Amino acid sequence: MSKERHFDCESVRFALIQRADGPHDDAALDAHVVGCAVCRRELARAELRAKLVRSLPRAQAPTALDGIVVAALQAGARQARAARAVEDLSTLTAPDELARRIPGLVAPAVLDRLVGEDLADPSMTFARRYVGRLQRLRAPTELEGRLRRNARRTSPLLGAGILGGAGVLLVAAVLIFTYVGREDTTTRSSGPELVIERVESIRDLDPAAGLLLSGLTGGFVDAQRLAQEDS
Amino acid sequence: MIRAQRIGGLVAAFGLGFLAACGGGDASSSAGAPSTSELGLLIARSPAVPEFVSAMVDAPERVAHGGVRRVEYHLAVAGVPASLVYDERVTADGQGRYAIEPVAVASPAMNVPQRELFEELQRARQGFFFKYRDLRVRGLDLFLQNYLVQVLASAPVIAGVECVEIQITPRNGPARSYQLAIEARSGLVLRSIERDGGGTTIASTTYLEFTREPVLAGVEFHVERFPGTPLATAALSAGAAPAAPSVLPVGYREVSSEVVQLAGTTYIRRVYGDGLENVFFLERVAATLPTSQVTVAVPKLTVRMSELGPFRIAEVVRGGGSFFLVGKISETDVLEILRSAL
Repeated sequence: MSKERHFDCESVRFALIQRADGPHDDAALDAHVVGCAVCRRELARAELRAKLVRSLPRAQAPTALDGIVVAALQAGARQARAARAVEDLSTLTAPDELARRIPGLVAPAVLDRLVGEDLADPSMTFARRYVGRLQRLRAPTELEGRLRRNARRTSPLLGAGILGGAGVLLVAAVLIFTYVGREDTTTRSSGPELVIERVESIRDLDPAAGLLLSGLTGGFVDAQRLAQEDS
Repeated sequence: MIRAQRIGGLVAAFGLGFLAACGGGDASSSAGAPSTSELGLLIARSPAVPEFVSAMVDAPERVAHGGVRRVEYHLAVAGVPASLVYDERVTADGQGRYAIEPVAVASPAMNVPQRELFEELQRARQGFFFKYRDLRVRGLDLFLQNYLVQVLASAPVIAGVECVEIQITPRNGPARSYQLAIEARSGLVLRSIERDGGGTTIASTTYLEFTREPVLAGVEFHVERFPGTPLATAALSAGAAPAAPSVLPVGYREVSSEVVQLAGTTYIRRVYGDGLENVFFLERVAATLPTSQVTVAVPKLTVRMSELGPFRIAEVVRGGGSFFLVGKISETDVLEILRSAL
């Protein structure tokens, strides 16, 4: 028993797409298509599209993709496990037996003090650690000689001042070298650090990006791709 | 030199008097482009904008017209020059309905299945072509603010119609020029030629046949298959925080922000324009859109960048979502936009 259905041209579109894919059993749809030239054309188009899609060569995904997908899944699983572990930590209580065996479990006083200092002034902590990582530079021998000569000519106190000034200059030079001399392809600003990876072919980008670019170039990307497939 | 600035910093509309004060650059002479001696009236210096320039803004929708036009793109792919040349039939009823139907592909060579597939793709994107591909003035104030417009001394006849011809050069952007032949009484562009800084033609569209009285019977007008929902009214998950660039290239403003569904995937599409050209920023939304509460700053992101002619295209993956940027903008601008959005 077939149920009476009413179609208009808008609602028939998806039904036609389904019909183009294979056998169907919908008398009401047939009746509408027979009587509607626009929908007949739409059906012909849908059948053509289905035929074209079926005729497309099957492409093999690069084997490297398998590895990438597996790695991404594993990384995701690791992150999820870590998140769950952190959540669980907040709800855990030490077993009674542990509390009995290690009475008065506290961090060493020095660790407590260091953590307290770090938390009190995080920027100072960061600066202190960062200075330790700076590359050590040797002053030119000429500078050392000039400093020694000056130190001999001046009083010990003045000499110490000059040496201090030279030290400041040296530190400034190290800092300038560190910040200016490290120019690379990355970009820096208040946002995230962006690293550019050059992509030769648009095909290596997300298909949505390729479609957008193809639309802006009148179909250029698709035309070149189709023509290359032939060759 | 970074040419990006905060949105809102350049919204003030410049009057024609100001344009007169800062206009005046002579168009550079180059191969195929009009020479300086051919250049005539500089529109920015005239007391009022000619009517045909104002009419260009909505002429494609407002004026009934039809015809066959030749579309050409000449771009380098990985350093190798390549061309796309085809004819298409355009029909517009003057009431906002339109159709763009492929007619024939001249280059590159395609066999029958390839051509059929290409034509199907072209039909599927006719709405995009009409709105975004075709060269047209999209906002008069912004257009005049960002471009120098000069009326050329020539009066070309395109498909039997005598036209006025203008040359357009960006005030701030990269060296590039556009030469448009316009039917003065309607504002329709009958020929457009885009050239790079060296004067080489990148793209052109020329009517081969043209009529103001198109046959509308039997025309299958374009139906929007994937209409977007304005982002402001779209139903996103509670607290969702879509990425939005806060830095744009000089002269660009937001044109639209929409949520679009394509093949089961949700995209947030933001379009920015300078009155003539557009920049697209797309966010492919992850299954769970990041919220402002849980978004985690990522210290380093990889931008996959490619070029095609004057276009730059960039892709960034962050978390489960990804971001695309496409436009005729510099690499520096691309990075500034992305950095401000991520």
